[in-house]
Amino acid sequence: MAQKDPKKPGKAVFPEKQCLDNDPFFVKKRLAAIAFLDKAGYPPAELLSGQKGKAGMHKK
Amino acid sequence: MLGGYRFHYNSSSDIYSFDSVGTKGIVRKIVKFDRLQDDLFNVCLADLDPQTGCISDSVTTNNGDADLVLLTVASIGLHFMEKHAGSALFIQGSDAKRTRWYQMGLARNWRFIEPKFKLLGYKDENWEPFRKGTNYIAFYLEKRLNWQYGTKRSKKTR
Repeated sequence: MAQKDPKKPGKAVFPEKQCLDNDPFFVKKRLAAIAFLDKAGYPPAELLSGQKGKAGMHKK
Repeated sequence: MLGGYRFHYNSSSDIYSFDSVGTKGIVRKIVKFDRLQDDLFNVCLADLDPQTGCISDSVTTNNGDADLVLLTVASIGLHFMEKHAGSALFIQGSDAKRTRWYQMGLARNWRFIEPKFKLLGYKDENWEPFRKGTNYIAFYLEKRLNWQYGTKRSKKTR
């Protein structure tokens, strides 16, 4: 959750990246995306450009 | 930049933000890219309440500027992928309506996207190359290896 800036009422101040990463909203979104991809499978390598690290996992 | 609103990047929080200006006033939007695996990032678009600091995407803003917001998100995505070479984006709305909204944006800008990016859609339990007019439930986007910013459009990519 973004914090209020006491020097600027109504002005939200973004916390450090780690805090935002742990914000319940983003945690929920991240977990949902991971769950979707775990179930659906990642895009197969043959459809991709062949960039390093893009090898797809087969659907479980 | 493709167009849309001017956006700001906060390096310490690694988050993008812009103001949606429409019929309901000014709504602060934020875009965050969450790493899922290796160079794959999930795109998160949400509203930020400056008073409470609450982040949410469960409310339909209806500010009358959906196309502008989408263009801005696309510009931000482009900026992010340029900063993170080799990155890919996973795109899925919080509900079917939002996913369709993203799909419409991708289809509308297909002429710009296709030569430069590899875009896949997920449908019927399979990933496939994106086709206009087809309904998907998620998208995967990465930059084509043979394209660099500043490269003129090649006939081969058509």
